[in-house]
Amino acid sequence: MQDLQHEELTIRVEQEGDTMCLRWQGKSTARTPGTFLLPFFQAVVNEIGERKIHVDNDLTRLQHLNSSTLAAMIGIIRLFRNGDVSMRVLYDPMVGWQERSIDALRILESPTSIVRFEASRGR
Amino acid sequence: MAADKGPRTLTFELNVPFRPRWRNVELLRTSVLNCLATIFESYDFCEQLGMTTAELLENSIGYGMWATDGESPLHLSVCGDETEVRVQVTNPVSAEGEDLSRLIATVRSIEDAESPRAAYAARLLELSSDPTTQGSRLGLLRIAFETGAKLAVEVGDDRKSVRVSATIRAGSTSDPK
Repeated sequence: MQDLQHEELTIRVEQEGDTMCLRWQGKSTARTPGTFLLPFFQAVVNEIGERKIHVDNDLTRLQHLNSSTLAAMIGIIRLFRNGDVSMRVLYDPMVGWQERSIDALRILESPTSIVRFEASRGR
Repeated sequence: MAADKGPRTLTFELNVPFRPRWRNVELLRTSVLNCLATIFESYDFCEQLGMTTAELLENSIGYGMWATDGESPLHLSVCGDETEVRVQVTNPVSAEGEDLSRLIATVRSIEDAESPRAAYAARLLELSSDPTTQGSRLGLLRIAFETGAKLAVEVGDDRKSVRVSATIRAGSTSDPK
């Protein structure tokens, strides 16, 4: 997988054992982020396929995201559910906006969900 | 930003007319954030208002009625004192347009909901269950949920204003420096 670069947003792809780490950096402020995020994450799901690899979607270094990106995140979660690929969304609980954004998205998480939100101090 | 710190009160006001270009959103978000960070102790509080500014501007650029040359100005106002910060964005709009009706309906849904969290959660679940939904319409709901601020819409003379009023809690880390 290639890194994603769009305007002020970079998502670096790193493979660590049985984990694919997607590290968001910069700011996600595009007008229609779903147009490039969803194809990128669909490619991630396709790449993993049947392999027992899980994804860490690491937001801890992200500086800002707009609500259009939060909407795209809902689509990303749907892609992972449909592809039966497990994903952790990592956020920094000491960063107020990250804590609040994820707090809201937790409504999409269920106890048996393959998509989970976890606090992490990545900085 | 003009700030006046008298013996008992602190007031400030920022007024910016600007063009509806997407790149201006982030420029103004960081500008407001940095201006407020010179006044208030809590950086997180300032970030909330920076986010508020960005979401209002994105809505205005996305749903405003712009001249074909794209040169019609938006107007951003950020003002306040020791007890409250108000962020207001004004832009041209079609009084009969669907977008204005949806905007007003969104503000009403926040007022009518059990809480801003409930209104926001309802929309997130709606988006999750229907991937064909056009336009996220999350911006105002996010503002209400993340800041706890009051939202108001004013319409007149082919323009509309959305105003967000965030109260500063006494004794909180949002107190002025």
